[in-house]
Amino acid sequence: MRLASAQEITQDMFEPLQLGAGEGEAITRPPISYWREVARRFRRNRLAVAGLVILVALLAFAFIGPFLTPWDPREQSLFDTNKPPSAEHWFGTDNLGRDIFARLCYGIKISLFVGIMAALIDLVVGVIYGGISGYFGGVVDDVMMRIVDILYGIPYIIVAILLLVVIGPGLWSVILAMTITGWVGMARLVRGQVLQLKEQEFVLAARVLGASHLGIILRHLIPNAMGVIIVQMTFTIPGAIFGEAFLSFIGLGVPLPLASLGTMANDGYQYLRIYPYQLIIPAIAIIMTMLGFNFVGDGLRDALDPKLRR
Amino acid sequence: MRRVLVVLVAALVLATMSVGLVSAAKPLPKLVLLSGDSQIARLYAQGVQEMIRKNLGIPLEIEAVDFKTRLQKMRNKDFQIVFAGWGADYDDPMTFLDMWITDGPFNDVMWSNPSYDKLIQVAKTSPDEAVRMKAMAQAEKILIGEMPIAPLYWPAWNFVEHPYVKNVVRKTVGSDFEWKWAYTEGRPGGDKDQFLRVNFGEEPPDLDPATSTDQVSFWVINATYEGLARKNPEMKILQGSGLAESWTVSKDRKVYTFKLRDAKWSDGVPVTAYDFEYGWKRAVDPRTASQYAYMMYVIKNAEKVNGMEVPDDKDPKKAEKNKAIDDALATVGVKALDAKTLRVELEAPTPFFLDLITFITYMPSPKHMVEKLGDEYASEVDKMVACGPFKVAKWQHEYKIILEKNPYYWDAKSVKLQRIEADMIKDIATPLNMFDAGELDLVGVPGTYIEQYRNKGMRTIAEATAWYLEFNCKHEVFKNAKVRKAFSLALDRQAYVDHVLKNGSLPATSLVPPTIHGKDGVSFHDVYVGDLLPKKADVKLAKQLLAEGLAELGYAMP
Amino acid sequence: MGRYILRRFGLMLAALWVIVTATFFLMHAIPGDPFLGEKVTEAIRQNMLRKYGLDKPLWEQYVIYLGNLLRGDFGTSLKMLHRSVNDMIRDGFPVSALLGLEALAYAVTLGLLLGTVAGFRHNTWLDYLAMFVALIGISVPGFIMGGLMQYVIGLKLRWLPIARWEGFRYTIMPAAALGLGTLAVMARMMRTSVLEVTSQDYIKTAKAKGLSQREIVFRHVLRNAILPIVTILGPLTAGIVTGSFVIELIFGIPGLGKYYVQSIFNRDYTLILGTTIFYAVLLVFLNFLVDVAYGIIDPRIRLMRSRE
Repeated sequence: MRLASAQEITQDMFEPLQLGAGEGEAITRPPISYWREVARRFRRNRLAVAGLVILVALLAFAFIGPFLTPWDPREQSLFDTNKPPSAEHWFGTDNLGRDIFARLCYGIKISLFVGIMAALIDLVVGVIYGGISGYFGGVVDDVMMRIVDILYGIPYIIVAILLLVVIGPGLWSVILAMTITGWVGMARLVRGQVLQLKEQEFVLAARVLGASHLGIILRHLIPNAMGVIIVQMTFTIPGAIFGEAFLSFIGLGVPLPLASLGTMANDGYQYLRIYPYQLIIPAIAIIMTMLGFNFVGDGLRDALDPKLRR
Repeated sequence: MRRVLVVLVAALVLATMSVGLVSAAKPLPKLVLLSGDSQIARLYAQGVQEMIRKNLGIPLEIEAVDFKTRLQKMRNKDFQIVFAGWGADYDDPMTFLDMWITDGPFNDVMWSNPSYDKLIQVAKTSPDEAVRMKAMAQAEKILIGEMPIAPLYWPAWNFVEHPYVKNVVRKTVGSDFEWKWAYTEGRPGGDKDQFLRVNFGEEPPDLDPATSTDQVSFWVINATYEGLARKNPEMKILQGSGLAESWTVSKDRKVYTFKLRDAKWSDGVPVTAYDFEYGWKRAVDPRTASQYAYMMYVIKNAEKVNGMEVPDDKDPKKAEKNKAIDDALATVGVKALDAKTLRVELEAPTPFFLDLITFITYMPSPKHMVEKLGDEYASEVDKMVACGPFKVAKWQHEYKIILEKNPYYWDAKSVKLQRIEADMIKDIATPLNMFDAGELDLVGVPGTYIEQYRNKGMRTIAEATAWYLEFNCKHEVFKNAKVRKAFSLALDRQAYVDHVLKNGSLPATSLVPPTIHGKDGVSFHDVYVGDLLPKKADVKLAKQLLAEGLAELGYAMP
Repeated sequence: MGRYILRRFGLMLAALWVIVTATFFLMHAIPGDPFLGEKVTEAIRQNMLRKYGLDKPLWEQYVIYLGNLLRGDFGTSLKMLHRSVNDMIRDGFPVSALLGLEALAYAVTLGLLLGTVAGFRHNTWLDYLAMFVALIGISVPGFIMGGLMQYVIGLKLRWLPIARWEGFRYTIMPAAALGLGTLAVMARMMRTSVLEVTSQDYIKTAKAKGLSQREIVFRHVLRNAILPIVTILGPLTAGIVTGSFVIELIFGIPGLGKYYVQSIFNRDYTLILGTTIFYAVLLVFLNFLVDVAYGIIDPRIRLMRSRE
């Protein structure tokens, strides 16, 4: 309801309501919007809340940490290598004498950047591709889905490594390698959602009102599939962080002088038996990131699915 | 985004300069160090990066790429500085020096110095050992003086063995492991069964000596074949140590005549001089496409024949061209005069030829097998024979290879081991875990694990290898020798081996490692060359040279 | 059904052709070649390229390769010059498949169990615990998990062999490490699936009918909840039975996994193509099997297809 102007509201429009004895019971639960309902259900899931807390803590660490330590993550000191944690170097130093605390802040940022970028690219490509495929259906859908099948049939490792060796090392190369076939999952998901949604009345209504195809996809179909899309993203991010760790293991991770949690864990893995802290510290950070995103993702999925309402 | 900005700014600066608005010195361009992408290669490259940053104030970027990409970039001269290494093929300084001659096949730095070329020529043709040594020492001084490469370190290799493992010899040149004299004494569970369990790390790609090139295959071939001679545990080559009972050398030192002993292949067929002639010619034949054929180039006409054109299947002149190769092969300087006599004629007197005959490419080929099997030879256990101390008894591809004592070996009485079981585990930590659990008898210790094994019977062996930085001598900055020298002097070699490598490697104060012998079995480096480079960085001199060099080039100091 | 299979088969061939072509040209775009080596002179390298037909124009090599492929010949490895790619796959696949199936068995059993428990005890500490255990599996990178297991269980506790491939005892640790990721996927899917099914009307009906809890769980909930899991079993199996680079590396297992990585670093063109094609064929085939299996389990799908 829209009011023409605030000035039209005058005192005499209102009259006090007498609250009767029995009338208190007539007030039902206030109507809550879909997203508020989601938030409510999310909050009730203790694991999901824990995940969110973990993620916030990691982010805070990554961004506040550098102000707490005087060390530069790139500064080497060949005479202070492999120092165990101490008052000076809180998390110790690595094999080139770099401060692990400073590097961890840095590594978390890079890893999160890789993960979030990969998820965003997946999102854009997957949503457009899946949206078009599902919305138009028929031959278009058939052809587009066959292309997806083909991409699905190529072993991911081979594509990623081939690509990285062809285009050379780089932060964006790594992200590209993560997404080159990664968007396929998102595309399939969005297509499935769109296929279901487009048969519903509100889409028909929009069409009758003369909305364009793009308008319908962007304004009606995608927002309604948003829940599922967000959930998928919370799994893509840790997937990409993990993928980068694997690439680091075979020597194709983010290029120097960058450091990611993957490269740090891999560096530390070499020293597992002598300087275990060099592995344990980045490994804990990876595990926390993974758990954080997965808990949040699971929680969101539960919360977004109306069928699970209890 | 930042890169785009940098490019934009650089373009702007270049544009301004080209119209002559800026008269001041140009800023130094971005300098990049090309390195391998393994864990260890990245670490080593970052160590160099730090020394250059600290001592010269130059921010060196590292481009870490996979092995083949790095090699391709080197071949294409598409680099500024590259981290590279070279391992000796034979025990003579020449193996490190002849690659830097003008347009040499491995001279990726495009350095050229006529006096250097002349000295190498002298050393390659002179029959006088003393003259050769002097020429090579002088050549090395020229090389280090102009610094197209900056030697950094001479690596060491570490391994541990259980105390009951005896007499495993590790050679510094050629095939590293020599098992012939190995045995066990005091193994828990008894020494009745004499065997060793080792890890080869990977599948041997090629067990045919004529074409094989890699380390693991060399270990197997060195154990299962024998050449005209075999190095003794002290690395000496003595008459009668291999399949040749004795040999004589002509006065001009260009013709060797070998007398073969009675020996048999592991299928009972005699090993003859014809097998040697056949094997060597097979390696030289361009149709075999042997990667190590160049090791045979000291033999008369070998290089010429190896460079001949191989006809295509569809070539109309195929028969003609094949015949030309066959005819040319007949002129190659190796000939079996009879079943027991092999005559070898060289291009020039080559004092290290006796070292070469212990090299894998110089092993005999069993003519009776290879002619039957062709390219299939040595592909499976039943498709190969042995003439060395051991024979391949079982080969589970990509998993395990078992060598057994070869009863037909002429010196079988000296071989105590009955069996060598070799795994092919590529991971670094796994073999060490297996060693600790007593499942392996001997294992290599990578740099990262040295601390743990230092006091547990670890042995450190200096390798006949040098690692250095190669400067692209055609690059706009590194074409200046003073700049190259400044970079070299900024390297704190001692600190580098002590704090970055930490594996017993030595700071390289010249190119040829001390393990390489000169005349009369002395160390070439120690006696003829000495320390041409300081072990510690000379920051003052480095900065001065850098300033001079950059001024000559018209660049500003960083 | 016959026409459906024929159509699928045609699409499969087209897909394979695209994969082969794309991989072929992409891999030739990598710098370097199989015979580039530190000690290989340019002349000798050219000679070797000629011997193995790599000096021909790319399209000609492509046509030759396709011709050989149609005869089922993957060619000779360009690194292991004495071994055919067919032999390498024939030797490696059974090992990877055995390991993968064992891993899958662990993952499915435990994953379904954890997922079911979590689903029925939604938002209780049991749910949280089950999901936490399941998620640990995908939270630790494979090389760390494998290395730690080997060090602790193999070396320190001596419960299981450290590495090698000599019998069942040797498979337990690598299979467990390999299955952890799948376990998490299984547990999570099963949990959601159980949640979804239990809120369906027919379950309420079943309850109203007075069926025992046990009967409801086994006859209605689990049977229906397992359906979506069958669909992802295809790609999951294809991924897991073609080997894992990390696990095979750490435990010294002679499987297929390492070829996917090493063939590229070695520029072993024939092996790159051979393993890629093998993987793609297996995946397509398993997906097809899953479709058929799905039809058998779920009558609704059968009905829809016959209407088509």
